[in-house]
Amino acid sequence: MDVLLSTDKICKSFMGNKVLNDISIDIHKGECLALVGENGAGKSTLMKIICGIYKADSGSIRVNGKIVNINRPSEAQDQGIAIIHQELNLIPNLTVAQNIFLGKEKTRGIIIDDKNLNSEAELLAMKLGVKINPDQLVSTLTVAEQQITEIVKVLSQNADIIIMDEPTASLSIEETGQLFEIINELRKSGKGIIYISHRLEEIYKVAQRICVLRDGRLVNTFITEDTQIDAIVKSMVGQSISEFYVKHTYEVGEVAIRVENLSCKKEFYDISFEVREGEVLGIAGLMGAGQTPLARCIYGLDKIDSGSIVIGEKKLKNHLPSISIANSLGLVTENRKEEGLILQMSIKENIGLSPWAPISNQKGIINKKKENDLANHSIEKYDIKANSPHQETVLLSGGNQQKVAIAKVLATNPKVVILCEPTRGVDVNGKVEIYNIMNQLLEQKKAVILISSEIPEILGMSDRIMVIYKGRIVYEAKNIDLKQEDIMAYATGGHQNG
Amino acid sequence: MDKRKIWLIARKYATLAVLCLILVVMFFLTDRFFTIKNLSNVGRQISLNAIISVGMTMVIISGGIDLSVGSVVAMSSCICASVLSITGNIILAIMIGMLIGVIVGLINGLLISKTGIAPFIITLSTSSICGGITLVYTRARPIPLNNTPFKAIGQGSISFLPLPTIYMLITFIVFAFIMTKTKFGRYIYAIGGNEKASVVAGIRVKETKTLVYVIGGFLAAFTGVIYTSRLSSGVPSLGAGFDMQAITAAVIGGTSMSGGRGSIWGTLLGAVIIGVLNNALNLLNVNSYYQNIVTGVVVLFAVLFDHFIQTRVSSKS
Repeated sequence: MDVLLSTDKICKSFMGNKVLNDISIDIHKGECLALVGENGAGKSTLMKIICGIYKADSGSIRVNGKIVNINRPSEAQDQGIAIIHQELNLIPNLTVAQNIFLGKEKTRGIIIDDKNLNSEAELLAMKLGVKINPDQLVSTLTVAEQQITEIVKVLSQNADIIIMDEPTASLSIEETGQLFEIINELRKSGKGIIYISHRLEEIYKVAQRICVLRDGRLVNTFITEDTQIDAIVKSMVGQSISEFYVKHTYEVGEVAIRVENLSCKKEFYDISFEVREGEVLGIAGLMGAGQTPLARCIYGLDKIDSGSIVIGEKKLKNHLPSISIANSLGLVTENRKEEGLILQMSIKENIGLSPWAPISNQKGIINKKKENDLANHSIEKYDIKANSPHQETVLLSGGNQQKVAIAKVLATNPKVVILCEPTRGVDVNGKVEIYNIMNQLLEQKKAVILISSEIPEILGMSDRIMVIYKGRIVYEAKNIDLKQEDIMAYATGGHQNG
Repeated sequence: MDKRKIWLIARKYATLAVLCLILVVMFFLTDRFFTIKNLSNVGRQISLNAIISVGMTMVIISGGIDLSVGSVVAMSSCICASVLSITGNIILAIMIGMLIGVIVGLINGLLISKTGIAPFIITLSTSSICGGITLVYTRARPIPLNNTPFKAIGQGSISFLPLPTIYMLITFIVFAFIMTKTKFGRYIYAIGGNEKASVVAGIRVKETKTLVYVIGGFLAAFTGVIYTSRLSSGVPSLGAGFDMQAITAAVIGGTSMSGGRGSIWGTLLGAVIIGVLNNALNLLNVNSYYQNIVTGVVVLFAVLFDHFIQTRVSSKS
């Protein structure tokens, strides 16, 4: 078989952190190669290098056997490499055909020949065995139709190597089936496809070979036919759960929060659970499984369709975040830069941001001493490393930013704390410090809901574990003798209600 | 790190330095500038626009803009004058004049915070509507007044300090206090800096934003009432260009048009620089057309300087 593209010992570091280590993969003509690994394993960095968004520190890329130098995305395109991102990049107010031929429109004189574009777009789609309406506005398309538009666009650029990043993340089962047929058509016409996904059952249907990345290394390449799913899961998670999970166990008290039959259309369905004082409930799931919308709905950022939330004695429904805070619920959002912090404000100002933070008198006039005390107290208690409380949070490291974001929530003295992906983008030391904060919360008899897509973290820090897959709870158990492989299998839809 | 600090200090004091520079230059160029008469004249000239600029600064810091303040000045002026000429009741006239500003501000604020439509569009529309109502109501003719006690509000002075300058100083002190020392002020910065994070923190974002526009409208109407007193008539053509002057003062004073950054005292400096510059050019017998050019150049330099520092500061981090 002809090798379309190969990488040879690609290495890449970010600020001294090695994220890719000697990665050598190859992709053949007419093949779909799956790339799997946990978050942070290095999949997207590798793809960004192939696409010219990042530059490798060392190693080389060959296209059709020749070493090529890819310094920017346009050069990757020239080499016939195309990527379809998880977030599609189409212009909503242009038609399907206009999007497909954007930047290379056929013209007669200076006038764009829309008719020609439309018929060519249809022709290209026909090759894939799909029908499109080239005149339709992209804004009126479903996600699946937009994806087809992207694929046709890539074909119009004569791409031979097509990278698809989590293409099924927001597709229905039928749409996924259609996508797989398209992928098969592409393979028949001699294209190579690199398919990135978390969903192992899908990979089994579509890929011929599976490369597993872990901690920036290529740990295994499997031939799909000859491999059991367990072997892949094992090689994805590795064997050791490292020592830095230092969870303390405290006596569990009263029920602090109870969620009953909570549903939000298209996000999650019929979720029920309760968390007690001094207890951590870990909610595991892949990105996009519905755990983030769940947290947002409980906190009152998004509307709930049905079900109820009870904190203490109080029932909350379609409430504002301010009502949540008033009822002792706190949320640490997953993206601290967008929703957690006001980056140009100082540490002190961020910690005292909430209306419930004890920094003012009753008329709302800020008391400098109270404000400074709160900031200094938090900096000490949560081990925030900064020059002074007046330092702008934009200048802090990820871990310290996260600690400020947590301190901001804790300043309102919640009884129930929801932590979403609390260690994302945080280095190992920062992680340990954040786990220490979690222990402090338990010691103060707070109830903690830990939402994370990192399964070792869930296993290391939870008293009980719930797994959510495509918006539904598929597994729930006390965290005793649970195996990472099992949780992973549930989270990837491997065990169907097993 | 040290360089960064220097840049930040430079940004903090640049406006003040420019003002001092202008003052020094004027000291050497003419002896008509540093007279009590001229300075109190400058004070009178800048004070009214400066009061509008306070509201504008708060709106911009919250991440918005208010283009309706000019029309509100005209509307409140005419309605205040009209009420006064009909009833003769000064208190009532002032109250109703101010109420106009509060109502327009409330409409702006509610529309902006409930719909999420760009403040630029909303206030552009309300500006046009208010301007139109004023012209229809007055048939584009001024409403002359003959009420001596009312005149005193805008024309009087305490020793060499004109009353409007005193109003201005009080306005600045009050709102500088609100912006720096109260939670409400802190939330205005927070919303302009990151609205999503403010919502998550439990801040009542919609209510806060609405209130900011109400304050903006209130201060514009306040200015309209004082103008009415100073001119002793309600003037429908009043207020044209006031919105832009207010934005100019805020920007020279270091307020970021993208929200989250700026200060009330900076805006005072901005307003003083514009006023002093115009006065200086007048004293030097420079044609008033040139004044526009100079103001434009000053704004451009202020913004370029800020951009220059911003890139230095953030590339270091």
